[in-house]
Amino acid sequence: MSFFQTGLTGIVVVILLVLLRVPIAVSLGLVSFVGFWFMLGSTAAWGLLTAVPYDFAAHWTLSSIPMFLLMGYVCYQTELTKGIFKAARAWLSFLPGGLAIASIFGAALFSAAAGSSLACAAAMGRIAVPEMLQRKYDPGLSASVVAAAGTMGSLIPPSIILILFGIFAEVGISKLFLGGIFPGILTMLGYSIVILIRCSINPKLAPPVEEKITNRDRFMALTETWPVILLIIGVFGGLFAGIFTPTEAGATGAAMSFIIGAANRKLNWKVARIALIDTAKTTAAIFIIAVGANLFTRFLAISGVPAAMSATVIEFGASYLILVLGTAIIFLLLGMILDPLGIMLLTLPILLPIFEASGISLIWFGLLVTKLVEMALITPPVGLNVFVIKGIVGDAIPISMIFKGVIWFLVADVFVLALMIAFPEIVLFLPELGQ
Amino acid sequence: MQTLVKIVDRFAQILMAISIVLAAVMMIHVTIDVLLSQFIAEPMPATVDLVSFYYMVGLVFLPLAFVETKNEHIDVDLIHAVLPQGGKKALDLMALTFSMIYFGLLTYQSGIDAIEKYQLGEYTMGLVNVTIWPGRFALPIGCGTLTLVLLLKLIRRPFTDEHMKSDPHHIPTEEGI
Repeated sequence: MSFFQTGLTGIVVVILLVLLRVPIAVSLGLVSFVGFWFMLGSTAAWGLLTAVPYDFAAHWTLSSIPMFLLMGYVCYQTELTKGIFKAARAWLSFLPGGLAIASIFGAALFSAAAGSSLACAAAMGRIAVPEMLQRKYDPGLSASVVAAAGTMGSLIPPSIILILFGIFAEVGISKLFLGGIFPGILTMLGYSIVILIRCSINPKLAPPVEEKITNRDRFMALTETWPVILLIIGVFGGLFAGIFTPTEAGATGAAMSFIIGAANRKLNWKVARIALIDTAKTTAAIFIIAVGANLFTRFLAISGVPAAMSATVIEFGASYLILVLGTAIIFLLLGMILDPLGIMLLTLPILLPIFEASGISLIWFGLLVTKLVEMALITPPVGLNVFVIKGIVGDAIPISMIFKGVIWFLVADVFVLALMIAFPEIVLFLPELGQ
Repeated sequence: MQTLVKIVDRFAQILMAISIVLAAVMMIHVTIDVLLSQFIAEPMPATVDLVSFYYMVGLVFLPLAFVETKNEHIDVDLIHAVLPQGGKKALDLMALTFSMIYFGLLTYQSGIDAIEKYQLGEYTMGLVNVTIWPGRFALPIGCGTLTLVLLLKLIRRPFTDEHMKSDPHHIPTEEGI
């Protein structure tokens, strides 16, 4: 078997193993080890295991991941989200579907403190869904709006997905974070418009909130939110001004959220312990897959498959649009069975060389990938955000009803995606500003 | 058998406890470093080395076994979910076997590497020399414990699937361990 054939076989075997429920980390790593052995012999295969896992973990830039995770989990456990939603509600509840729009704005703000979509959906789901149901909002709308709003978690910095992309693509984390800001805001506006239109056409979906909210209430609600806003400004101001490295931004952010939690009297030993446990568990689960993806990248590079593929794509004269649409289709298909991290880490070893060879900005590509994998979070049959919300609402709302409600938000996502493709400046404007 | 499972699970919990201490210490260490370098212009010594070669390596590999006892390693449920009991059992046995082989390989190789670096007394050269070989042992310890957990799960799997139940992964927990 030639190197090239070994590479292709490797790709097929990985997909097969993953489908048969072998953990993603194991599928990637084991196939790479065996593949190396086939191509270069046992010494090279063992050498691969010596080089990659340790070096990949012992990594300063990647150490921002556990710190941003911790920051998000502390904010979640100390119920900082409650204040955020309350403030958004006070300001936005006069609109048609005001509570739903408030949960979108609340989620966007929480996204700026947490790096994961699932955490974001869970945080907003716990607070906003019961409130909407109590106000007789349509159950499908209530649950789906939070599932969709959660997907902003990875677009709006900090973002675990973007950090990992940055490592694999060798692109600066701060630039990727800056690139995520406008797509995140666009998504937020897109979702809000969907709600405005739906609730204006059919007011039964969201009966208006009766209680009178005075301007005093509005500013009172803000006083509860200012620590979070200060936290976000401090962390990202420092990061984008170049004062902090991402790890330093994450660590100080986590420390600040502990302090805010303590000041709000929400911090205790149990809460801190749970946040730390979740941080350690998630770090290990993410990194062991990333180690597998790194092994797989090296295996594929030796096999020559990615190089041959990008040569074919270029020779074929595939235009920018075809390349992007092809990627979108691959991601949506994979999104039916895999979680975002899995999709990204499985495909980057193949797609990165192709996009790099085509001269497309890797910052833009990173945001495209993020937007696509986030959409996969709410598409059936595996829509993890929908499952999270289902877990929170229990038997009150059937899962099919949530998926049905989500379709409207996917329409908004397609518009945002089209804008990103038609006007790459939406992504690139901020990162290029600093140059 | 039951006691063996208990012992290994307990050990996985201890490794997890060490990891959460590492996460907390890492946050405090980096924060103090930021404060010192901003206000006194004198950073903590060897922050980057300690974060990379101790905290990170520990945080990535030590929780692995615990995550496995909770069945929270990321996999794809699509086909497994629709299979009858027998099919589920077959897939579980295969996944456990492959996982055990992979992490067994990692344990073996990283163990050899760790001992080698220990004998060399591996350290980094910078403003201060930092001994870094102890961090290497997080790999064989973490992966080795995980391999044991997998082996015990594999042995039990033909008789029961009680230990295979999982919560959805990386969603904030309400309860803890």
